Amino acid sequence: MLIEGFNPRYVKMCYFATLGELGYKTRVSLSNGTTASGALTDDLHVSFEAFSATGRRLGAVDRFDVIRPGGFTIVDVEDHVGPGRAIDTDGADILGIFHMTPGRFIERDVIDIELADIFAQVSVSDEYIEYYSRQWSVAAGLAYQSIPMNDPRFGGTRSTLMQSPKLLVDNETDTNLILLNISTSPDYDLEISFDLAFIAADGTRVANHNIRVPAYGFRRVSSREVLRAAGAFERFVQLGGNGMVVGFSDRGSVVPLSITRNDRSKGLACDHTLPPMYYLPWWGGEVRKAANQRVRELLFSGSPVAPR
Amino acid sequence: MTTARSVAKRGVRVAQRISNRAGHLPRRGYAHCFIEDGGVHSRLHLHHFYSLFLPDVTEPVDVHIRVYTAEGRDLGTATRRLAPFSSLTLPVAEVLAELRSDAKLGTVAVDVEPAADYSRRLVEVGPQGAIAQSPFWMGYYDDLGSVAYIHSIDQYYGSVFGIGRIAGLAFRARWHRGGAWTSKRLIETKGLRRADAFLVNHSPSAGRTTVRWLTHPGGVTLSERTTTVPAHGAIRVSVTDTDLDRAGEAPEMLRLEVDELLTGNGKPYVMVRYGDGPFSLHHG
Repeated sequence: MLIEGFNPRYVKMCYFATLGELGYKTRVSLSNGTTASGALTDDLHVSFEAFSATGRRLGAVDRFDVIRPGGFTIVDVEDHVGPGRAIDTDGADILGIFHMTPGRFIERDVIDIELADIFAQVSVSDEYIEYYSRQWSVAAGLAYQSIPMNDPRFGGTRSTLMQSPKLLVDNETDTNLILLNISTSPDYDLEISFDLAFIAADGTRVANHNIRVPAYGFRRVSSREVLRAAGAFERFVQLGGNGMVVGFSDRGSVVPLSITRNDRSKGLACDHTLPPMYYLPWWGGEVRKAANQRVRELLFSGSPVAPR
Repeated sequence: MTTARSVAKRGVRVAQRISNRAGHLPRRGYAHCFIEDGGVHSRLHLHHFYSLFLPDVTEPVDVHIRVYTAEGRDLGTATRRLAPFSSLTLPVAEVLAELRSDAKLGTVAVDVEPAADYSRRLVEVGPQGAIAQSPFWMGYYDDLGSVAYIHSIDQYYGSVFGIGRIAGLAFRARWHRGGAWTSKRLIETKGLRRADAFLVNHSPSAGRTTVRWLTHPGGVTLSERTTTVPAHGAIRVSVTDTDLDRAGEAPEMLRLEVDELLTGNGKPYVMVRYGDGPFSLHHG
């Protein structure tokens, strides 16, 4: 599929949200995984832009680094954004995007490119997002590929079914869901409504929560706060303090990340979730739509899911 | 796709159809590393994921957990039953006790076997050759408040579940050695107490490789181990603050290299500890 008029800065990205509200700084390992013998061999020119949680564009930093094939760099986000920085903010958390633009596209505003070629460039390497605190001697993070999202030019339906069986919540542990609403289309403006169901280990649905994630914005959801607000915290802890959270949107793709924090040590567990195709590689089409509809009726309507 | 690959793919489809005339649902498992050493514990995060694909079927699943020592010795299988929409955070220590083992390092492979109603329905609605897979998360923790979890990084190769041995040959996932690999993460050395790399052999065949900790950007080797990793076994290769001190001029960063990943995506797990803080763990 040929994508016409594509902004080449979106060919290879690294998107993430910072975690300053919880006391951590953010740094990102970026790399150029192309090799001298590969078809994609090229320099990657690094630039940066930042958005507020509500999706307001805060500013950008033009190309500030070049990663040669096989090379690495690590970037402290606070070097570019925050009070008195190039992107001058009040220090609130941001959604950041590092753009790693191949050198062959660097002087062009738009290109025509095959969708497969975008995915080929994305899949060359993971990027590692690290949250750290020297005060607490903590450095933890996760690696993922920032795939193209929410771009109508790519066709297909955009929905999200998140299943995250690593919901750990008790008096000293909280699991935060970080939800990003990203696109490869600069004109993108869809706010995504994302439904969450919190399910105890025995299968009892103990709370529901709806969150709206603005375009180019993000949300952090504290599972402990949701459970407390629903009056379900004590019960969830009594049932083991662990379970599963299911998220669903039938209009828009959300990037769901899970960050569990131990309040005592300040240690973090960070990971993404796995989309349905990891469980059923052929899942899709009408079968998926019908199943999603039933999941929605069962988990996000008034009827409870009975434990067995 | 080349003609040769196209023909090969068609051949696999024909073999799958012929070998699975009864229409069973083949299943592929996933594997993880476990650690029960130095105060570090592991736990499996399991869930009844079939509930989210066929929510109107209300049958349980049986989760089969096969355990191997780091040396690749098969310790046996433990099984847990999960109700629809339920999940289970299962300490590896509990599984090891059941299997009468005190292994400190090894691997676990998980296959989630659904009740017949799920299999039948998925075969009905799925394409010819439809399969199911059982990825899962492994958690790591200690009494000091360290917490980590990581998704399955690669499959459990060599076996297919839910189908006969002969038919399994047509449905098993093909695996290959992954070649040279270098971590994309740079690890700051300031305050670093130790870093451990855990490399798993997800394949059914022993493989020889070298795991190496390097300074960055200097590329000086600080710690290195060349060994044969048994099928479904695991190794640990560590670097400590003492190794950093020996390096002379303090390197700013570290990175990890593997000369040969033992499967295509069998990247090592990386555990780091700074000062007196908690450990963290992620996939390389």
